[in-house]
This record gives sequence, C-alpha cells and structure tokens, in this order.
Amino acid sequence: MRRGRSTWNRFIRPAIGRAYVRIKGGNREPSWILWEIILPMIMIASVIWAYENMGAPPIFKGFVILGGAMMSYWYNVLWGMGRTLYWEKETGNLELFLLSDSKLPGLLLGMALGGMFNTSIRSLAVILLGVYVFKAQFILDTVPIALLIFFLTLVALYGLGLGLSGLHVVYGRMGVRINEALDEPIMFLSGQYYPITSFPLLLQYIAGLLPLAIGLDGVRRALLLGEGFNQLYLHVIILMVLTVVFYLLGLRMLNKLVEIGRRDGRLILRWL
Amino acid sequence: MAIVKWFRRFKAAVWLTWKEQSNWTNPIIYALYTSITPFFSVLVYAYIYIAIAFLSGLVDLNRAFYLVSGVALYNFIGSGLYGLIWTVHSEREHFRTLKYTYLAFPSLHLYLMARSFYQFIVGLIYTIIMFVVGLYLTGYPVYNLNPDVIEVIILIILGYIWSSQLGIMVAGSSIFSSEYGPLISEAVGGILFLVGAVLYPVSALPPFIRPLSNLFPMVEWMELMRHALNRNYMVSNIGQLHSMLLLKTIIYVGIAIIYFRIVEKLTREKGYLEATLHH
Repeated sequence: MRRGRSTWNRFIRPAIGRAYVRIKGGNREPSWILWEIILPMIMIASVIWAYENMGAPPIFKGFVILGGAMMSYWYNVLWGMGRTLYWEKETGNLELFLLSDSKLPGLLLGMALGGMFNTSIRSLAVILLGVYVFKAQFILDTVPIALLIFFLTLVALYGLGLGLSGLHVVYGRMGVRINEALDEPIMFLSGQYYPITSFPLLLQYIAGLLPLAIGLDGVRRALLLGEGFNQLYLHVIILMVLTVVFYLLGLRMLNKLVEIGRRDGRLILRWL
Repeated sequence: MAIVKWFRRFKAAVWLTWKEQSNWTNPIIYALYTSITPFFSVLVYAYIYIAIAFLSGLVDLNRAFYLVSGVALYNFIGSGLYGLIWTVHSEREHFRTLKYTYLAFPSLHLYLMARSFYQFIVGLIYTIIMFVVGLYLTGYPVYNLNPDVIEVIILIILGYIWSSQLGIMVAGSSIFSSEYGPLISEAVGGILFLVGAVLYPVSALPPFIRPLSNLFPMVEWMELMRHALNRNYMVSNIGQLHSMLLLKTIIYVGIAIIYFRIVEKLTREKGYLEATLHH
C-alpha cells in the first residue's frame, strides 16, 4: 500500500502536473495553434503539389498528409521532452525538480503526455484540412488497428525520449545540436513523404529500428490500403518489442547521464 | 579607412557566429556535423522522385533536375534567412545579449547582415552537397550540366543581397513580437518554399496563390540559377528574368534600409531590445 502511494506521489502526480502545464502553456494563445497548423500545411501542400506535378497517383496525397501529421510527434513528443527539460535547466526549474522527491521519468512522462495532446490537436486539424483541401481519401474501417499502432508508436517514442532527454540535461547546447543533426536522417528513414518499401532492403531493416517508421508504415497501410490486423500483426509485435527495449534502455541511459551530470556538476550549469 | 573599419566589424560578427554556431568545437567535427543535414535532407526530397519512379515507373530526368536543384538552391536562401531572423530571437530571448550588442556594435543592420553571412556560407555548402548527391541519386547525368560559373557567382551574390534584405525586414518585424518571431521566420521560409519554384513551377500552383510568387525575387532567381547551372535547362524571356531580378533586388534593398531605420527607432522608444518572454 505504501509502495503504491509512493509511486503515485513520485511518478504519476508529477506526470499529471507537468502534462497540465504543457497543455495549458501550449494552448493558452489560440493564434499559436493556428500557426502550428498552417506551417506544417505549407510543407505538406508543397509536397502534394510536387507529386501532382510529377503525375503521381492520388494515394500519395494520403501518404504525405499522414507523414506530415505523424512526424510532428517525433519533434513534439520525443525531442519535446528533451528540449523542455533543457529549458527547465536554463530557467533554474530543473534543480528544484531534482531536489524534490519526484521521479524524473514521471516528469518526462508528463512532458510527453502534454506534447502528445498538443500535437494530436494540430495533427487532427492537419488531416481534416488535408481531406477537405486536397481531397485525400482514407479507409475508415481499419481505424481501430491504425489507432493501436499509433498508440504503441507513441509509447515507444516515450521510451526512446527518456534516454535522449538525458543528453539535453547533461550536454546542454550540444544536446540541442545532436537533436538537430538527427532530424533529417529520421525524416528520411521514417519515410515522411514516401513509403519505406521504396528503400533498398538494408535501409528497410535500419528503418525497422525506428518506432516512427514502423508506426507510420502501419498507419498508412491501415488507412490508405485498408490492411487489417492479419496483415499488420508484425507491425504490432515489432512496436511492442521496441517499446519494452527502448523503455529499459532509455531509463538506463537517463540514469547514467544524470549520474554523470551530478558527478561533473553539469545539472545546474546554464548557457552551455 | 571607413571601409577597413566596416570590414573589421563585419568580420568580428561573422567570427562570433562561427564560434556560437560551432559551439567552440573542432572545425573538422563541425564540418562533418554540418554535412549530415544536407545529405539526408536531399535524400528526403530525392526520394519523392525515386518513390514515383519505383512505384509507378514514371522516369523523367528533367523533373529530377528541377526538384533536386530547387531543394538544393532553396537551402542557400533558407539557411541565411532563418539564421538572420533567428539571431534576433536567440540574442534577445535565449542569451539576452541583444541590448549589449546594440550598445557595442555601431549598426544593428550591419550586425544582422554579418551574422547572416555565416549562415549563407553554410547554406552554400549545403547547396553544393545536396546538388551533387541529389543528382547522383536520381541518376541525372552530371557531365551534361555545362554550368556558366561567372553567372552562377553573380547570381549567388544577388541571392545573398535580396534574401538578406528580406531577412532584415522580417527580423525587424520580429523585434516587435517575442512570441511570434520564430513563427514569422518559419512562415516566410515556408511561403518561399511554396511559391518560389522550388519543387514545381509556379504554373503547378492553384491560380489564386500564383500572384504571391510575384512578391519575391525567388522565382526569377531560381529559374536563372537553374539555367546557369545547366545550359540544357531552357527558360523563356531570360532578359526579362534578369531585369526583374535586378529590379526586385534594388527595391528590396531600398525598402529594407528605410524599414529597418523606422523599426530601430520604434524599438528604442518602446524598449523592445530587452523585452523577453522568459521561456
């Protein structure tokens, strides 16, 4: 009983508290939401018109819209956790969190949940606009399997984000630079604007290690090609395995990096 | 002597940007680091073409050249533009040094130009990497290019002038808003990508958006750059494109100088140099 209450106080409550701040902060100004829908739409529109100009089949519109919508989770959930933690460090809040009894993974869960909520509002709007403006067509019968794959992708991203957030805490600006350097390779390997089946086999295997690539491929197959659980069970299994592996590795990496931060006095170091 | 002073100031700001951007790291490591982004960025867009060729069998090397050259050249403009506008945001919000810069450096306009110069150089390196890698990936015969080197250099200088002045205007506007500064920079970059003949010609846009492309010298610059890089790429009314590019560049420089003077005056009056959102 005591253990249960302790977990609640140290893990779940910080998560709820931090998610509330991120949701409230991210949506307090309606015009921000509008901008954050319009800006990705500009890129999505550009790629859709590029495809149209090259005479691509209409199904590519759906590929691009889903790619644009899901890629936001990579930036806002996974790196959102790290970046927010970096800013907490810069503004002096991180030392308060670390001094309190809260667990850091709980705090990061809150950041991830807040990021997921905020991104979902924007991504949903992007998809609806895509349907309305570009007449993209999706198959709705397979929505449940698409949602399952989507959910597993987000959980796996949280696990991966745990470890990568540690980079921001310990290495500060270098962590930000690593984040920036990884953006384009991830965009490419996840197949943001095209199916990963067009990759050579070796690249497909490498992409298979990324939850976003598997998740995006699964959601696309479900919503654009109408594939059900029988065709997509491998996606589900891979994502479940990645979730467990990334969570364990991420937690270990985070603890190790925080330990390094404590040892080298980097946890309260700012502007570096 | 004035010109010597001018260059000394310019060089100091460029050096500062290099140090800040490279985070005081080893230049070789930084060079490797900076080559990751353009390499994968061009893969993302080249695969738009490759995916169609792979799945639908539609192969058109002229379209491959258009797409790859567009994305590569956009990086030159985009990198400089983002870098310039982001300077205001990062110096005021993140490092809170804009007010000290303003006190120490004789001209904020020159300072921003110099800070962006470094970004344009990085953007140029991006462009070269993306162009070569992209053409190789899409199977375009590089030996067919036959570029006019002098024209390419002149156009790069013109591109730097007009886009840095556009950046000055946008950066000036972003001083008035801590909240919307980064969004404004992304929006301008996005609009240039959308209407600037980057991935497709302006004729592929819906008719109601096309007039927007006339506001920027981007289309003329893109088309002339493509022609200068590849003589087989035909453009109609080349003389008109040259004069329009030159005219728009002159207009941009004039408006940017006047606009930034007004902005600077208002900024000092209202105390915006140190107005932060406190992230």
